[in-house]
Amino acid sequence: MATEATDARKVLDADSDDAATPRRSFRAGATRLRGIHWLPLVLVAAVGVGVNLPVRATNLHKPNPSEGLICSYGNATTISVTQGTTTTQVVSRSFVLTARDGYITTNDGNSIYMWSYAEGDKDFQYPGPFLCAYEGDQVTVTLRNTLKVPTSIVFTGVPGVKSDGAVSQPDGGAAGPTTSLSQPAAPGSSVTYTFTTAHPGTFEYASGTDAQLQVQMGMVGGLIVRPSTPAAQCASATPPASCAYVYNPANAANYAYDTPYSKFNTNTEFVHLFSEIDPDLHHWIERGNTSYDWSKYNARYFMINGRCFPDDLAPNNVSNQPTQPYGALVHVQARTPSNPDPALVRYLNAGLVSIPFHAHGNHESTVGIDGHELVTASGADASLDRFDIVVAPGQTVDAQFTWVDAQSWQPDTNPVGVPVPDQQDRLEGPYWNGSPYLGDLQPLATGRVSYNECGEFYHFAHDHDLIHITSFGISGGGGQLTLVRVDPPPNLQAKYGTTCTVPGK
Amino acid sequence: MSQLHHPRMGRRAFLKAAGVATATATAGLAFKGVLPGQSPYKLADYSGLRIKRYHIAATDGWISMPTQTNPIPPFFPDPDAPDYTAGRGMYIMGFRDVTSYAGFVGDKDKGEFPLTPAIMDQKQKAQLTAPIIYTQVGEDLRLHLTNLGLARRPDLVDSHTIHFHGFPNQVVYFDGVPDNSVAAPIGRTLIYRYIPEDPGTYMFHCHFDDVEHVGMGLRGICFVLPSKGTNYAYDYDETRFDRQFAFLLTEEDPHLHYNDAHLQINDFSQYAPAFTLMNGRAWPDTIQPNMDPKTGNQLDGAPVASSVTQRLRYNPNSSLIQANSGESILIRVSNLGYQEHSLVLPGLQMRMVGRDAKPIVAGRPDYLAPPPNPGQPYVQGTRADLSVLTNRIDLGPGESRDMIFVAPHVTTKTIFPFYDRNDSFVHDATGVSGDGFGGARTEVHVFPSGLAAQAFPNQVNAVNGAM
Repeated sequence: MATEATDARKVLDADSDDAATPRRSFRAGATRLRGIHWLPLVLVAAVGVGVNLPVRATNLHKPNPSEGLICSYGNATTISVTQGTTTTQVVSRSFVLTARDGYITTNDGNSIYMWSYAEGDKDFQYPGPFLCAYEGDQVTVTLRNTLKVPTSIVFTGVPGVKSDGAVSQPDGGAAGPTTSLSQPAAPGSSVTYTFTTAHPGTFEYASGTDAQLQVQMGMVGGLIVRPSTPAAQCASATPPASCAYVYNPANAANYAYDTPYSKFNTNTEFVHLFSEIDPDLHHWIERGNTSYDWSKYNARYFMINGRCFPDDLAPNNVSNQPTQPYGALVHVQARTPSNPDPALVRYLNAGLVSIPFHAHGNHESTVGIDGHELVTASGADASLDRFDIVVAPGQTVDAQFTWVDAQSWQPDTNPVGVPVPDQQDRLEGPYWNGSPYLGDLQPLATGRVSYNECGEFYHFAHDHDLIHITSFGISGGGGQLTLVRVDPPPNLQAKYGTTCTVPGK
Repeated sequence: MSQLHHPRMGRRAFLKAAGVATATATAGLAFKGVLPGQSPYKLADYSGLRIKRYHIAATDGWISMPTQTNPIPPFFPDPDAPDYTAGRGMYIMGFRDVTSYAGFVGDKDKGEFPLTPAIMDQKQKAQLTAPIIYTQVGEDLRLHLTNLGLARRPDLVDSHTIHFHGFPNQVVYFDGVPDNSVAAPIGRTLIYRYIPEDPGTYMFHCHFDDVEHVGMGLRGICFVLPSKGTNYAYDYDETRFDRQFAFLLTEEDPHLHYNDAHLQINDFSQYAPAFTLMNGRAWPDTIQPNMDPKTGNQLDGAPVASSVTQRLRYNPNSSLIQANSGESILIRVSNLGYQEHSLVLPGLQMRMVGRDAKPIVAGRPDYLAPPPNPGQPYVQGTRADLSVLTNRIDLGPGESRDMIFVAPHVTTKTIFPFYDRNDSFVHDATGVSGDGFGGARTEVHVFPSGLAAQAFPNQVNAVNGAM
């Protein structure tokens, strides 16, 4: 089975380039098949060897999208697990994280010394990679330590984590001192954590050794577990309802949890990892010190996905931020009957204070908190619509977002009915489309720079503790602020003769 | 003070000529009828809606903190403050209500309103907080924003905007973010138009140089009443009320206010607030009646000394809560400070029925329910009832809550305190507590009977000469 999984992955990797036709045809086939995956015989008959594996062992995922969540799926193989007389197929998924030091840049030109997690042998990056797995996977994370201090990982919200085979737990005890909340790797050595992903959701992983300091230094990342139900259960005569709410990258819409309420558009999945930086602390550690006087702590940089505004608007893997690979632009198309599914934003807070995050444009519906879906005991939808999502330290929140052209203002059919000032009577912003109307791209005043592509709207999304949308205390730049880009739907692009970059491409 | 966030976005799109296609004039109608009778997939005719109009002017000015507060030299009180602040003056920026001033001529919606002397004269007469702005589903809300400039800081040529915080499915032109749309330079007026479809409690503020302008006072509370009626918070029976009181929570850092008054640059990483305010006032000014900044007289309540009305002329909004026995009282709270606030109401049990301008009672609409037709309520949804009973609420910056309590039966006027847990807020230079003067604290006054009906939100009335 393991060999077949590898073969399937090889085939899929081979056509995951931009040569679209073969990939598209494969995806179309997979879409149909997954829709009826409680009929495995049909599945096997239709596609042949390899596809009777759990879908999560394959690699249909976009390897490196320019915007939105970049998932690292690690190295997945399917293995047989025998319990008593029952043998089941499960996915074994392994990751290698290397603790490294390096530098990041801030929007005001500063350079900050950091510690964080690189993937495998790759160069330093901040924050750590987003590890993605499926519900029920047996996950192995090997931490290799190149720092000069011991370090470890705590997987917040993940039960049953073992370190080098033993239950992961703090050292020291009541007699203290505690140096590590889980088994550390000494400088130059490694440690291996294993766990089975018990339930879907968004989780934080972060250093458990000298954690106050090391998390501040940047040792944090995200773990995303996607819903999945074992194929054997879904093949039974009475498959559980959760079989309908799984994650399959070939589908246009997917689910964050095993419930219908957590649906989202596969192409618009985003992550906002919040962090804060006290530059004095980082300078102090850079000079070789090993501890810090926390009574002096004063965070002055505030980041989403390791970048300050407006650096966080740049695409993923942009060349001028080589150690900060993740952008934070949220890009959707206005909701229409042909584009009905919301985006999903996964929030994680790696800082020390709560982040009241306010997305302009529309409420977001919180469907999950701390890796648990929001449903009542009787299964009713307990999601909550909020214009301000407060993410506590260490908390994760999964939220749907959509934007509809509620008033449908259009210059010919439904004008806004109030005067738009002439250019000398207004100050224009660089993201504005030059018009009140979605899709209508008009020139700005002479000399004004425009970043608008196709008449799209840009909405702010930001920490509403406005102190956190500054860098080094300077009003008007930096901080935990990003944009939500809302593209006109196809009919308005056709109306105005514009073409928007498609979200998620 | 900087003009805009410095953009560094990697993608640069070239400006395109207008090039509006004419062949597809009906394209916007393409979705009509897909979901019968329901927006957002239709165009709607909003021309018949009742227009609700406000005109506010952004400028600078001075307000007074309670006379009992301890000084924080040299920042508070500001030595340059005018006399009416009674030695407790603080420099602010604010939205001044000029709705009732002569100024509109010609067609209001063509912007034909030159700045009349009466409106120009309001420069350096800002108020904190802004007028409470409210409207009802089915109305057409127009906010006129005039930038009068800053009398004390002619060197700051700041523009202003109004961001209607939380308004769902907003177009950027009416969202008031200068980076993403337009702002009003000094001497100009912008008209914002909103078709409210979602009842609830919101807030509004300037988004130009936001951390400074919001911190200096360009902020207010606003709310939308449901189509069900003006005595309901939402379209649900359990949200009926007899009186409503709206509270905007903030903190004030006197360093920021002093720095702006004295041409100093702010370092916001040193933010250290010394006051917590309700509707721009601190205890015990919070329980004074509403004032009229236009006349300097009180608007309502039992008579108070003219020294009080003059001192509170420019922080005119009362936070006193009143009730007759048995009445249902709606409390709306929005937080536009930079810190979390936790408010307690010992002795009275509230039901939280809304948060972030969404009902949380049974039948609340699904997130993906399309907005309804103008003036119509949302279709009932199937989501769980999340309303809770409590006598304490906490909310972070940018959040709002709606609570309803039923006033107990009393035989004489009975007082319940309603206050921020961080209520003993102001301290002097040596760190000595200031006995709560300067904190976010107010009171609920329950009468056996006799309070006249409320004519406008936050209105207070007198019973036998008492408030």
